[in-house]
Amino acid sequence: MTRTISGVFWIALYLVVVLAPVGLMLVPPVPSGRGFWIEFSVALGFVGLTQLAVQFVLIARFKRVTAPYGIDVILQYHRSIAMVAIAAILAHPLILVVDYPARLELLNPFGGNWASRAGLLSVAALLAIAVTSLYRERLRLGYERWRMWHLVLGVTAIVAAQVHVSLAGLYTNTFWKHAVWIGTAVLMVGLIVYLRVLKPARQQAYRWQVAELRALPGDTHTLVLEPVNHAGIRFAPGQFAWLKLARSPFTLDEHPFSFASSAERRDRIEFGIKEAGDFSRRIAAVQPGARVFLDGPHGAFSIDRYPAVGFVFIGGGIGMTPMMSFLHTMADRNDPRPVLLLYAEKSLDAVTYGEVVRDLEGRLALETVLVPEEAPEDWDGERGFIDAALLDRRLPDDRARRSYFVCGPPAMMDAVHDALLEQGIAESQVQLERFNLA
Amino acid sequence: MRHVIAHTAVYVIATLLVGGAAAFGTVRSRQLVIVDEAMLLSRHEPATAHEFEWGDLGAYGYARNCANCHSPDGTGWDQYPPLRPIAVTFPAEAARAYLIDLHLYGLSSARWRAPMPRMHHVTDAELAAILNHVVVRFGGADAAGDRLFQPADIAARRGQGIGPRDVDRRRPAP
Repeated sequence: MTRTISGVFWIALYLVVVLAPVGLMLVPPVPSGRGFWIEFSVALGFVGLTQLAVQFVLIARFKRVTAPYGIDVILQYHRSIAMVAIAAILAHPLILVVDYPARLELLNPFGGNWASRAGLLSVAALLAIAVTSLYRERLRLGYERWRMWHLVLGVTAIVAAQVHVSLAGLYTNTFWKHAVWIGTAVLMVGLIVYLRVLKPARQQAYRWQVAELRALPGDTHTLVLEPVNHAGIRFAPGQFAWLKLARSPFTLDEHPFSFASSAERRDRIEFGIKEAGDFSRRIAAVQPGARVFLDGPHGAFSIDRYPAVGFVFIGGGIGMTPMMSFLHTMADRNDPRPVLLLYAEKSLDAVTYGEVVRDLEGRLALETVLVPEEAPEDWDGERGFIDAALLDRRLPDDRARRSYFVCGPPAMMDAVHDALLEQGIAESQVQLERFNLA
Repeated sequence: MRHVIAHTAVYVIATLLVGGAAAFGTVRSRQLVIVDEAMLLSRHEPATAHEFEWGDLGAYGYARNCANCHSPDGTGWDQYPPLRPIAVTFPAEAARAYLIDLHLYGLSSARWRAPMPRMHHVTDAELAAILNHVVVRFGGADAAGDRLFQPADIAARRGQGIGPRDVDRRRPAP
């Protein structure tokens, strides 16, 4: 219940903040009202700028703000609403020029005035952000490099926009209105300092080291970490942390991984890491004793959040890691609730956690259904994809009362989600982990 | 479930933002926000020539519509011309018309890299008061002179259907 209250609280505060500039602009003295299109365009510019500012709060990983929704959802929201903000900001100069074509002069970076140049710089930075974020892979921009540019361009966009407002702003015509806008912009840039300087500085005291690296089937490794001179980390099963494999915590090279181990063990934690990108290949070569920093726990994909009489876990490939955390935690807690595990994998050879799951079956009310995409002739189990027919065959009789957790490749999650709804499972009982945190 | 809610939130917030901006545009363009008594009077009780009290209204109108670019004391900066030298040219008939027109229709010229926006939304009374404020307080014109601008002077020059470049062509030689 407190989670609901705090969720509603942050949304309410968000709405106030988002529409605050419109209110602030109406506090006297206000300039004489101009035509509808000019005032509309100015308002679009202001609400767009406020949205820009809000992005810095969204990405700052404040646990108190993100906990009610889950940081994955917050980042998904960040990607979408930032596009809305960019559209609003782009509409601002376009409407102004159409309304009074003489303003075309202002779009020339070598003409115009300082206010228009600052505005142009902000718009250019925003367009660059949009293009590099939407087409990062097509542009062959590496993740770390993209991250750095994202940061630099984001700060450029908000600072330039603020300069534009201060210089051009008919609506910032008093000292205190100026102060409110500039103060907000400074605060937002300060959040970047918090995320990239202060937070890493704090992580320095919470070092971890690699205790062990175990190779598992399916090009996957279990990375086991131990705390160095601290008690460890308290997390909920299914959550994740950003992991930095570096001598110093001041690096942009960090990647999110789900905990794969029991939440009851704070001082020996495990991550499942599949060799896919540069970073995961580097991890595969890491030596015991290597230094690691963690930012976490984050995420809302957890059995502890949703009271249920029983569960159905549906994992595909490396998407099984949070399920392993669920199962290990339930085993450690002697949790008697029934679990059906649907485990999808490319082939039987690639089943990473086959053995571990078999061990856990002895400690839990666990039924496992392996679903290899391809299997030899003599395999008498399920095969292919998890579809409505398979669910209909395998889901237990109390299916309507169970809680569903799905994690895997995006296409699989979409298909399973639709198939579950087709089986009459309520949307509110299906939790998805969309692991797209870039 | 959470993702569905987040998607919905994007559409709701986007609608609120555009709706809020449109509401703001409507409120402002219809002059629904009453800002002070002087404004109200200037809109609803047009004064006759001899009793036009422009003093406070001029200072206030200049502060909220002009000062941000031309600076509070009219010194100008960047692409915003200083108003003192312009103010002294005003007594000639052509210069008076030019000063009014550049406010009503804007001004775009090769002399500056940024255009003067149209200020045609400012009422006759407020615009006359602002012009008087500029020519008297910045240009040193006689504060009691009978050549000061009257609201009727502004009204007479509205509706010419000209653009910012036309205004520049009509600019009297300095």
